[in-house]
Amino acid sequence: MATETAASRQTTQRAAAVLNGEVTLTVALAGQPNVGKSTVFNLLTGLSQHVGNWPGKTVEQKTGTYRFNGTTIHLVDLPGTYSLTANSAEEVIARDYIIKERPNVVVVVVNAASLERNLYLVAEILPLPTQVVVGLNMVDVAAGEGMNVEPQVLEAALGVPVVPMVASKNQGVRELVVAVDRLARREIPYTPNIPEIRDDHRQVLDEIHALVADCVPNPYPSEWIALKLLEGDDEVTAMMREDCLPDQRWDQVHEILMAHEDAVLSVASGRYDWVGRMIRAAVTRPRPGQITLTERLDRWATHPVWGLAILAAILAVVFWLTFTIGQPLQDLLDTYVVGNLSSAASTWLATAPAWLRGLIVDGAIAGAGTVLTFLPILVIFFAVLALLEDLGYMARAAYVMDRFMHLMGLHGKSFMPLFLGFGCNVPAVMGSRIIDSQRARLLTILLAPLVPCAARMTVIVFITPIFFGRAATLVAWALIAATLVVLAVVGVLINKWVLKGERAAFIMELPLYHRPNARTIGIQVWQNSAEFLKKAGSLILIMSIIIWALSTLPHGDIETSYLASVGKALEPLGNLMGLSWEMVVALLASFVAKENSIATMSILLGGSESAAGLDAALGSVLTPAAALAFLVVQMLFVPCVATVAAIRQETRSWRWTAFSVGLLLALSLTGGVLTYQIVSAL
Amino acid sequence: MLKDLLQLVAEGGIHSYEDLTRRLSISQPLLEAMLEDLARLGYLRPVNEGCEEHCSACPIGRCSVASPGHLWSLTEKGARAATRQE
Repeated sequence: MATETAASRQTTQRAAAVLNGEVTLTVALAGQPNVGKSTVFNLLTGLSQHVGNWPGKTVEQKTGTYRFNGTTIHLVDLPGTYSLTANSAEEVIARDYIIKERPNVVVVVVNAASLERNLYLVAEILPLPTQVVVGLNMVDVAAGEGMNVEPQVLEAALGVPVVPMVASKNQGVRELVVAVDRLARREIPYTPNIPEIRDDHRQVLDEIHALVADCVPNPYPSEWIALKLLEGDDEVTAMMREDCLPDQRWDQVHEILMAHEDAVLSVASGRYDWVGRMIRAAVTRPRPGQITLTERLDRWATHPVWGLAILAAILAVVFWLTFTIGQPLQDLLDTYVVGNLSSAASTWLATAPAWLRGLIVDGAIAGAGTVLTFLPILVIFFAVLALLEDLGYMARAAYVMDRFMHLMGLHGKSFMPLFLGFGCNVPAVMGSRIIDSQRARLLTILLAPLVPCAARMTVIVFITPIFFGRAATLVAWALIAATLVVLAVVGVLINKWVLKGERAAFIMELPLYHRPNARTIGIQVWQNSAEFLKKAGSLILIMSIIIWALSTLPHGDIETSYLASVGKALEPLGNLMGLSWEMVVALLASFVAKENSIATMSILLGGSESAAGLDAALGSVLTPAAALAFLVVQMLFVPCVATVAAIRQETRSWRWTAFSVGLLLALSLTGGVLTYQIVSAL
Repeated sequence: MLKDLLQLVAEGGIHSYEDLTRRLSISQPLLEAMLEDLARLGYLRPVNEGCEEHCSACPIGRCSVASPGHLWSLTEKGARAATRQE
């Protein structure tokens, strides 16, 4: 990068002005926002400040004076900037001021607690034609965070004066001024360790420098201009192309730049290598206990094999908890709330028209009421997920699952949206927007409905105990595992045929594990439960009434109803899976919302009975093999209408929407028939 | 350093910050600064930005799963840069 020697630099810097025997220095204050730069400025200038705007800009300019030891320091507060890469007006002002006005000294105020980011700015200022003093501010904050920053070591490594400070307590500010004064008077050595471009592009930099050196306008340093051209700096590029270089010379420069479009990486890498060396030399970070705990836990939680085993075990515990605590609560709710409500409504409506009694008792209460009894199960489910999320585990779950998906040859970039599908398939489909590749997006959208959403899980949780007793947890767990295997196989096949094995790359921050906050979990459980209640009170209630109406009209007899006609037309298909027409209709109703299948069963099989009655009714119309087939179909079936709408919206294609529906229909029916036939034969 | 980082990421799959800091022998704050810089230059892309916007359109409101920390993906430009130097 800049190869000027310290001696040659001295000649490029502005000499301190001497007027009537008094020395006047111009000192610029640079630094990132919120590092205490303004505090230093205010402490030094006090009431002598002048506030205006930078010429031609709306950015505030603050200047002031400070007298010290026979020296008048003219202080200029540069705008806070993260770098000098011309990304913003502030960055252009800061670098233009240093290059064009050439202050005697630039004080770079850095945050000792965030040195990595702050030193990058120092790395960019050091090659400019000025002298630098580093004000190492907030050393108290760094110490409080357990960091040990050694100013003398940093000073030796940087080759420029480093002054430790706590500006907010006016500590070290006077020492900073002394260092500035002595440096300007050349009483202390100045041998800056300037970052170098990486070797792989040094020759390219030299070539560009040779082409532009004699055309660089004063006061820009030619080496800096060459470096900025290599970095692709828009402002410098425009200046050199339009105002400085002859066309033929620009063409030569442009050709080199085009051949090395990633040279910016070498330039920035040189700076990061330099920052890394400074940090390794001057900073030590004792490892706090929390990090050690996180690392210790992550050795297991993110392990390729154990991590998956832990995830599977956690899933099993979630179901066990749901069955052990949620199921009895659901029964209580069913008996004492829905059952009593149903009886009370029947009594109150004893003299009302039969259709009104049917609508309220057999439609609204039997349908939406039964779905409402899921609330305890969902509360437990939401609470456990919120707990895992707040604990910091969910990111690990995503991490190990992604590695697993890569083993299966799936596109890793699809993982995050698919993972959202465990809550609801709609955000899974909509989340596919994050994927650049059109084909990978499509694959994700096609796979999203195969992720078992919370609504499908409630159906599993409701049905498995009726048929599988103590093995319910195992069956529920196996159903989810099997669905994920189907998802993986479909993904592998599509990936192989459509994406040709393309492999995406991710970087994921795994947050520290921390003690869960009861309030955070409570809020999340409340929000999700409130949404469920809203849905039960609106969409599911309306659907329950429609299903009841269709099961009653036109003659008031379920066997001759419109719904029975549709169900019976499809019964031959249902028979292959051991399903009666009522169960086929329940499956169709789940297209509106998955919970509707339970509401429909309750209306068609349970009548005015409560969920307990539905248990018995289901037991009489389904064999365990048929129940398993029903659950398999439910898991793989066409998603709810909201998800299908999202698929249409995201693919913008009816053809792909139809393909998705067709694929899921084929998968679910094949899965259901195979399950029933195989299990029945056993 | 940035090239080394890109090459590691371009191996494919998912990398945690811990993997990368260990393999590059750098501190996490330095890695974070590098990731932000690579994103600014178009070699990486922040993935989970805008999640809240997506979730606001979701019929069940806030999702009950997955709120990891930062997540970045390699862009095509990043993949090209990593391959070019191999």
